[in-house]
Amino acid sequence: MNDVLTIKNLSKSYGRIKALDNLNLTIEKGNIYGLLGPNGSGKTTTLAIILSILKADSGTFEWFEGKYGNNPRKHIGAILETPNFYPYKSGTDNLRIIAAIKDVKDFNFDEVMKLVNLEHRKDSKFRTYSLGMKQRLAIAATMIGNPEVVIFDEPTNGLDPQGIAEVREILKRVAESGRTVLMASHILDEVEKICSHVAIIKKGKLLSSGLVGELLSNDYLIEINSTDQEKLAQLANEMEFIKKIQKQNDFWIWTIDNSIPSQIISKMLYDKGLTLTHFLVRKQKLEEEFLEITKK
Amino acid sequence: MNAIKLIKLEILKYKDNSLVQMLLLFFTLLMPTSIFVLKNFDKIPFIPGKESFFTFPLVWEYQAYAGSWLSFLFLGFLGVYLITSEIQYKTMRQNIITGLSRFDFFMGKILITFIVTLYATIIFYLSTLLIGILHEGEINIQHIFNQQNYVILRFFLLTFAYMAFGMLVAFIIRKPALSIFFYFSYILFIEPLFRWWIHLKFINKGRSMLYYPLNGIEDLAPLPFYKYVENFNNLKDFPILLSYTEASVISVISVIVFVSLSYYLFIKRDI
Repeated sequence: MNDVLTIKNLSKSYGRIKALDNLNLTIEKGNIYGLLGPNGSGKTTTLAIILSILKADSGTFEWFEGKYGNNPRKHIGAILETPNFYPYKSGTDNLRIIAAIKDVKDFNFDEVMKLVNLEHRKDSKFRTYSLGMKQRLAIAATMIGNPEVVIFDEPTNGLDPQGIAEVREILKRVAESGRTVLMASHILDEVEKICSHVAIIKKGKLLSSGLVGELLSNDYLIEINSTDQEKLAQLANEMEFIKKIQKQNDFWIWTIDNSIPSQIISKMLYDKGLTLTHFLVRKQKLEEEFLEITKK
Repeated sequence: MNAIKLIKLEILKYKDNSLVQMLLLFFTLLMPTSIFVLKNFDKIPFIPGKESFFTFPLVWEYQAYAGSWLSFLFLGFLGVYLITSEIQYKTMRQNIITGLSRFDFFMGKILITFIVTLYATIIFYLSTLLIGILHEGEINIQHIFNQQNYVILRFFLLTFAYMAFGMLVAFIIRKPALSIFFYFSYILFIEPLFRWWIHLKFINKGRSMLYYPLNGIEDLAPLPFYKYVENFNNLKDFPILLSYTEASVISVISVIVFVSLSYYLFIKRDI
């Protein structure tokens, strides 16, 4: 079995709003997929349909190439939107309910609570948890039954910087465990750091998918500024290998064709007598690529 | 998932829920004690002697009547809560995501309703037996168990029906406060008003105004007091109380409709 999930022509509307429009996507075993898209692009709708919470208007999806029949969800660990637990029960008791549903016996709840740094609050009622603790309990819940696939929907949403760092660290550990991971997010930095593959959707349509590295173009960027703005602009117009010029905060960003080394550009500017106040060469970020793709 | 596992899962969900504990506690405490309020009255109009309420066979009927109010108030409320709490906390959604099929989730609710109903019926039966025996001068087995008119089955049916109706209301409305409000309003005002006003005025002036689901359920255990009020049952041109057989048939059909409709809504809707 190589394909963990196959989505074919999935469509879903809420009244007049088309949330998903013939979406096609295949998730292969062992990959860490980032499902990217602006707010309202259909990420959560996609996850809700493949988790049988919402019903699609048309199209199909198949988990594990049909290996587990009609209810493959016992082999999936998932959080959708907010962590949903019984507020009057303790963290551990909530995990016991998850284990009972998944038919998991002899599970070491203490160990998983330790993994998500909740061992000191394992007997506290869920309603007394902070948002970060709730999110971490939800991640712990996805581990029960050693699922083949783990799904996270905006796992760091609403967390403070410390909470984000903690959740990210746990997510990395999950990703390193060899499971297939599907993570919906609009925080691109998060996806870039954790995921191997990415699928970008907008208005319910798949715009692009593939390896994170493949998706990023080979062009590189130069952040640049000078005391002589006029001369800088004039030189920029003369250099034909500059693909795009953008203004950002206190500097300009030039997108440069990969075949022209940055040293040549630096030398050209020096030879023309331009005094630079800022010069930084860097790679494209997923964020820039994402904005480029979703702008289309 | 098999039935035992589903029951265990439901117990795991609610065993330390204070509202559920409170509702069951109220029922358990009031079922054997509420009858003693009658002791405060010197004389109850139309009744040959108030002590007859405490002895067989009338104690069966009075306790069933009192119990029907307790079932309506506490256990029907519990029926609403069992569904709306899962919707409110989004745990219904999480249960399905985790791997429970929709059928299993629904069956879990039906099974826990069955268990609560069974518990309530046992409390009703044992408390009634005890009250009756304590007030009888001498214990006569035949006298105790005669003229029960299948009271145990009627009580079981009415409790299950109230809970099933509560669940249906919750599946339709989904919002906790609104569901509770509608549950009580429908039983106390909407259906009676519809029967006594719209049905009699615009639909039919005959006895068909009695054939409504909640009226059928109520008439499984009517106030025995009615029996002693001359001509009460003939206030209209027809007897206004359903016979036990009629009430039972209406209640069974109602329960089938409540459960089927709840299941249909649960399966068809997004969660």
